Formats: sequence, structure tokens, C-alpha cells
Amino acid sequence: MKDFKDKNGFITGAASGIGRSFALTLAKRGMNLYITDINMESLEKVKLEIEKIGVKVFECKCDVSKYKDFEKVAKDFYEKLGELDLLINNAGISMGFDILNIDLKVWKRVMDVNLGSIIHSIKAFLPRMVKRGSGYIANVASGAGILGVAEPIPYIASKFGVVGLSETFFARLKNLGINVSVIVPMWIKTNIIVVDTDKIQYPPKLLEDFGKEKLDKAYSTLMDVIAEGAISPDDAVEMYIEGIQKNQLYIFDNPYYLEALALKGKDPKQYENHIVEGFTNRGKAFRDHFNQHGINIEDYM
Amino acid sequence: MDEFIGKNAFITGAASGIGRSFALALAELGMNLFITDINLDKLEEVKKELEETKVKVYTAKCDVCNYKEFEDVAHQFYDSLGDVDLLINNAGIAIVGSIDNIILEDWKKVLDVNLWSVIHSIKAFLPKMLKRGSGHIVNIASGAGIFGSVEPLPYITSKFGVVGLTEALYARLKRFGINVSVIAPTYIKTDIFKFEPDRIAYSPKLLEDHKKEKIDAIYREIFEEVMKSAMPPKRAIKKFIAGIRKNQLYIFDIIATSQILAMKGNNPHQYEDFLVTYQTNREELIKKHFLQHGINIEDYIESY
Repeated sequence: MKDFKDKNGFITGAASGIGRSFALTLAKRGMNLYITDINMESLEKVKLEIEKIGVKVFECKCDVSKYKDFEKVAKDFYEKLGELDLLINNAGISMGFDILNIDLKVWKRVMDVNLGSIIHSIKAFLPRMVKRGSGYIANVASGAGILGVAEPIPYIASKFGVVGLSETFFARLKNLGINVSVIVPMWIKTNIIVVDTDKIQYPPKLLEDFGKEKLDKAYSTLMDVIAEGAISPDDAVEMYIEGIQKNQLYIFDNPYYLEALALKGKDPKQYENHIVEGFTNRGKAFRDHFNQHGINIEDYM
Repeated sequence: MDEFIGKNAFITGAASGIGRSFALALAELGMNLFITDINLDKLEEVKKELEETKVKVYTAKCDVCNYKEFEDVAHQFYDSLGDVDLLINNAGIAIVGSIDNIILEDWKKVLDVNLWSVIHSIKAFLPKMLKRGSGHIVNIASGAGIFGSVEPLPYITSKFGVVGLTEALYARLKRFGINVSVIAPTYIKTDIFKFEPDRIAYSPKLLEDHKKEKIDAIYREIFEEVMKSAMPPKRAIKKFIAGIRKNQLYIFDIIATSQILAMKGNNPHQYEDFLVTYQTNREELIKKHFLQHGINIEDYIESY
């Protein structure tokens, strides 16, 4: 889609991070918005910021893991704004710690939010887009949906799922006048890396020996180290909007992912080494950092 | 792993298709087997086929959607065979249907069988593998886990998930002496592509206007045409075992899958065209078959 002025957008997870930046940037380009999140307090603040810009804006609580919530907000959206031009499925969470702690509840939560959200959203909004023969769906995945390296495994599996789903919707909907993109952020300064410590599943013994507060502190500053060089969500969103204007299936903020995809196909051995190395380096950064806080993490994993 | 003789393997979905072919091939290589499925009658038939090979064979029912059942069979496995050297997560299903007709229950069912099966299996078997510092995990994904084209929507999503999960495990487990592979078959002559009317979500209006037997027959024709060039499982398994011997992360049955993967990175526009063309051709094929039987499928399906 070339132009956003006077068109209507719907965004999940709009209270912070990429979702919030999308909302503000699109509002500045004249788009009317319907924004949702589960954190109503932060969402309200975003709404006030958008109102100042001068476009129409509506907000509603939407727990993306529940289809019923989507049904409700979709109905409300149509009543208030009319047709949907741009659907941004952005809501996501990351939970988990290490491979030995396979907690099925964590898996279920991550799958429900990251993958279930998009299945629900498309189920709620697509039929009317198809009838109208136009519209744009942008799913926010992650670099963890391209390479399975350092993020928690449930996050990786869910984001690969989002990428696959986007590819097939792209193929199916193109001829019907609907565009689909999958956005693949690298490191963005958002809440998902600026640690939500409640979402970390520490190994029980580690928690027992050091206490949550100390671990949270070590973990938060670790994320500062990892996210060094991360770009701001506003800068990232400018790139994503350019990709949307070009109707690209894949939208990256870093050419690294194109190289990685090509490597998978061209030189599988090198790719294998690359992901093992990537994980090893991350592990080393992790260990070194915890060591600085007097915690020998290897005793616990 | 390059030595199979006297080692122990666990296989899910072993009553038919790739699972069954794996069981037969690994028994020939001298592996002891613990094979599971939800279809116990067919599983027993596979066990009978394996009798001549003289390897130890155990069978058990395992509904891969249910973690408890994995815990139980894992214990049975350890009691009967000892350590797992090769864990083959093969069970999978596909539910066919257009975007309009696939319901949330279909999504759940497919994700449960195809993706959660692997999560459950890893949770049940990995701790002991890690303690021992050896083992090989093989997840059967699909070409539909590499590029998102004509296969059913939930199937593609679940198989991409399996591929990502496998990459993540590969990166993490290598240094513990555990190998991980993902097999991405394209068209193999197995039950997953065998025509099964129960696994097709037809448009309600289509069923209203036409006899179910007639629609089934048309779909059967379409399946048969798609599967004309499919590879026999025996030949595919040979390639897969060669990949396991080399401890490859990705194991493909045809070179085209690597080329498509490379195209994603090298030429995104070409890749977009490829996806759309592939999908359009499949839609044309479906339309053609329905038209031959006097049905304009476009009256019933808005989006494939």
C-alpha cells in the first residue's frame, strides 16, 4: 500500500515498543487507528499522544490469545471506522530460560500469544477483506523466526510458525488483492528485550540460592549488553513502513537475515556452524555477565 | 550417528508411511525398535513385518498430543530397551480446506499433532539424553516447513514451527554430544497424502448442492494427480538415513528444496513470484478437476 492518509489501521500490542511506534508513525501519516493491548494504562497514554496528532483513534482491550476478544473488537472496529486497510498483528511475548526447563505452560502461553493471536486475528478480519478485495496484513515476527539461535525455544518455534503462516497467506491472497508481509525485527529497544522479569523462568535452584531480585538485576543489565547497537522502534518502523509501501513479503531491518537464508540453502554445513557459534557466543556473554554479578550460571544449567 | 547396529530407536507414527518405512529400514540396519502410533492394529502389522529381522521390537499406543502418554512410553522404553540412541518424531496429520472453511478446532488439532508432539517428546526424552551426553533427535517436518505454499494452512504453520524448534535444539545440543536433524520431505507416497475425506473441510454450501461422494471423488482425482510424481518411501528413507549418518541439520529428499531456501535470501522478489505462481497453478488444477465434473468451485470458495 502506497498511501496511509485517511485509511484505517488496526494494531495489536500497541501500548509499547514496535506497536506503539507503528501507531504514532501511521497517525502522523494521516491514518485513522484502532489500537489494542492488554495493558490499558499504557494504551491510554498512546491514545492521548495520537489524539494530539489529529486523526481518529479508538482503543479497546484485546487479549490476543482469545478469539472471542477478536470477534468483539472486529465488530467494534467496523462500527467505528468502517473498512480495514491495514491489519498489524504485533502483540508478542517471550518467555523461558534454558533447555532443561521445558515448562509446558510456558510453551502454551507463548504459542497462544505469538501464534494464536495471528490465527485469531486473520479469522476475525480476513472474510471482509476478501469480500472487499483489498487490504493489507502485516505480521510482526522476529529474527527468531528466521534463525533458531539464541532466543528462548518457545519464542523461536512460535515465530517460525508466524513466518510460515505469512508466506502461505501471501501466496493465497495475492490474487485476491490482499497483501501480506512478515516483519522480521532484529534487536529493537522494546519491552520484549527491556526485560519483563516476570516472564523469565529461572531454574528453581538458581532462584533459591540468589533470590529473584539479584537475578532480575543481572538479567536486566545483560539485556542492555545484548541490545547494545539495537535501533529504536521509531527508526525500525520507518523501515517497516517502506517495506509495506513496496508490498514486500519479507521486511527486514538488517540484511543479515537475507544472508542467513541464502546460507541455509547454499551451504548447509556453514549454516550449522553459524548457528552453533551464535548460540555459543550468546552463552558466553551470558556466563561472563552473570559472573560479574558473582553468579556462576553453569552450576545451574 | 553412523553406527546403527545394536542401538535403540523410538519412532512415533510408525504404523504407516514414513514412520513405518523408517522402522523397516532401521531394523534392517540392526536397530532395536520401540514403535508407537494411535492405530494399534496397523502397528501390530508393522511389528509382524519386523519379525524376520531378529531385532527387538516393542509396540505401544502413544497419542502424541498427550504429554502423559509420552511420559508413560518413555518409562516403558527405558525398562525394555535402555537408552534412546535415535528418537524419530514422525507423527503428523494434515487437514485440508480453504481459508474460509478451516475452523479453529482444525488449527488446534493440527498444531497439537504436528508441533506439540515434538515438544512433548523432547520433554520426555531429552533429560536422559543430556545426562548420557549422546543421542540423535530426528524431527520429520515437511517441504511445507521450508516454504509456505500449497499445503493446508495449519499444516504449513505447524511444520515451520517444527523447523524452528529443530534449529534451536541443534544450536543448543551440539556441545552436549546430541545431534538434531529436521527432515523436510516433499511428496512421498504415504498416508498423509492418501485421500482421506474425513480430513477435508468442505464448504458447507458445496455439500448442500452436491453429493458428498461426488466431491470426494473429485478430490481423490486431484490428490492422485498431485501425487503422480511422488517418491516411494523406500527411496526417500535411504536419503534420510544418509543425512542422519552425516549428522546434517537439514535433510531434504530433493535438491530443489535447498534452491528454494537459497532463493529466499538471494532474490526475495523471485521468491514471492514463485510462491504465488505455485499457489495459482494448484488453484487452476483444482478448478479444472471440478469443472470436468460440472462444478464451478469458485462459486463455493472465496479464498483457497
